[in-house]
Amino acid sequence: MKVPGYLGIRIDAQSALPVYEQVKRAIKLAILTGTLKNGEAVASIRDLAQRLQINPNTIIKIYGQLETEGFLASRPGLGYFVRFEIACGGNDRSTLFEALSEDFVHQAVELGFTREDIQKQIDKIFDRTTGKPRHGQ
Amino acid sequence: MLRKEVRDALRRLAECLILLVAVPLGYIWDRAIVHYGWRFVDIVPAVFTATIFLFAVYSGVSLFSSEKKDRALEYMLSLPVSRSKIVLAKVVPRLSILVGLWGGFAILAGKGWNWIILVFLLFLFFIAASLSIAIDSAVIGLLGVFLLFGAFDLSSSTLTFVAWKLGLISSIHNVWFGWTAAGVLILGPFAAAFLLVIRNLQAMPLRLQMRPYYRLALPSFLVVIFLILKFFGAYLAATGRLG
Amino acid sequence: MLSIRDLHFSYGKRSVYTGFNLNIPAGQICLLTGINGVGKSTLLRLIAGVLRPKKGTIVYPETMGSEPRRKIGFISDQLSLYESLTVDQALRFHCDVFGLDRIDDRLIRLTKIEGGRRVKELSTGQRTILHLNMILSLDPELLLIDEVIHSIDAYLRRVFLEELIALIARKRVTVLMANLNFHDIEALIERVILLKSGTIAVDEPIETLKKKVKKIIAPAPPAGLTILSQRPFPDRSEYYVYPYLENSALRDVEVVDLDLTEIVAAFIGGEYAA
Repeated sequence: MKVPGYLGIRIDAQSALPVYEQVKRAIKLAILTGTLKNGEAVASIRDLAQRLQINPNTIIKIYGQLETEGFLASRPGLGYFVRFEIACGGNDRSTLFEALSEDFVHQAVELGFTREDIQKQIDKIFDRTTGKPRHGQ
Repeated sequence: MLRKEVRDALRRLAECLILLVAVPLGYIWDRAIVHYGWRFVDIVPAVFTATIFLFAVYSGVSLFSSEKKDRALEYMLSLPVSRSKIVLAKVVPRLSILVGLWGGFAILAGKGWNWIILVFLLFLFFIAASLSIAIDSAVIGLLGVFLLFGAFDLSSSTLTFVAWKLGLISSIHNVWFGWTAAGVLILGPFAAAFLLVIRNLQAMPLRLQMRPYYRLALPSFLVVIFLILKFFGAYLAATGRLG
Repeated sequence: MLSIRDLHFSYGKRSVYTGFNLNIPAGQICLLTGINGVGKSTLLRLIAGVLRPKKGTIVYPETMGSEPRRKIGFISDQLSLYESLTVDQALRFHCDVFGLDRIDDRLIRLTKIEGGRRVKELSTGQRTILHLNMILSLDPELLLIDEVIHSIDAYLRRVFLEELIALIARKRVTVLMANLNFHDIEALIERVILLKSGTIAVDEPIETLKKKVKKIIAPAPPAGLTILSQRPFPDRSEYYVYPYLENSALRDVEVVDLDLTEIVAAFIGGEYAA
């Protein structure tokens, strides 16, 4: 089972989606799904840049934007911390949810599955997912 | 950088001083083979003269030899040292040794060694340096210097002859006149040529990066010794002893 | 701001730059690219001071002080160094000339290059690492890197890139890289400058470029779009377009996003076809 993260994200160089957008979404997803917990420190700018082999200025931009959007808080000298309360994330959660589901349904339809097939599949996966304890901490 | 250059200059001097080996050799030849009756002391001035002229040429030609051999030209030019400082650091130690040798021998030899020879030595140095920058191969550089040397001598002889014919000098053997006149005439263009070539220092990395010319240095060095000995032997025979 | 104004340079009779202008704000990471021989290395050498322009000036950012060359880290593909020196001697010489107290030889220690070996005995990869170590340790304000990254192995490449990233994270260093291959460094690049015959053919931020250059797979050339180059196939050929504009009139086509390598290839392909 794949756990949404951000330290292991692979940048898709062939996507028209800019690098900063890809990483930003991954971090948001990690925060929204609770992989990154409230109050937890995110990787330092240098650390994340080195892991992903991307420009540190890009990370600075992402963290800056996430701070403005209310996902992160910066503490001078200590770095960036997650300050997300699930309730405030209404809009972003929905947008992300929409994007995720659109991808899934679109591709399932292309493969020739019907509405019924898709609904049955969602139920199956949901049961499987919520039946087990969450991975990570 | 200066330290490295001083070390290099002294190394060139040491290589030239090998020529002094000709002194005991010449003496041995004379005693064993030729029996001209030359005394030891006759040969020494000729060999010292040859050494100092060789040093003038060799130290000029080898101005950038350590960079050429080490493929460090581009690196040298990328260092935060101005072009003029690079040239000064290289030229000053070599010229100091040259002037020192000249001065030392002038003191030892007394009359006959005068400032004209110093000027000529400086010429040789700058011509050699310019050629080594402008031309890839050290061999061609050295040969070029000797061609120029020959041309210089030819023009000085011509000028002496002309002056003698015009009654300006009393003896055709007044070679110093010819040398002075030729020197004055050639001074301008060669000094200008040297400065122009130094300004084009930057062109070197493109042409001289990969040349492992150093392997040609030793054989060309031997060729040079041979040429110098031959030339000076003939010169001494024709005009009498120098000094 | 690094300012190149009205640059003129030629190799003998062959002129490379006639009136070239370029401005790079401090701290920007730029890629310089173009076909072989277009003048990338020459431009880097001119900025580094190895070559002198025939005409024109290069103005360095004020942060580089009165002696800008002390703060320039330059590596060329020639990897020029004093070969008969040992690694330790070479580092010490470099320190003296640049006025550094000590040299940070972390990269060299990491790759286990012995200090007593002569530079000429090192492999190309080791020599590149030595050079990279030297330029990184003088705490540069401007890095000029010419195509050396290809010649080292994947592990060393990663090591170097991590050091570079650490440097960029630490200070606003301007980086100008001339590369023909940029898979690893693509995500580092902020601005792409493509040279063509001594002038700038393309100068865009990388994100813009990715939005503007697309591959269109269609049975016929797409109307209304400028085609850079194309690859013909029997049924549907590939057309590289720039700038790409959304067009509902385009039917029965596939629009494909490209990575930087494909984008640059599209531009260069156009040059070869012309």
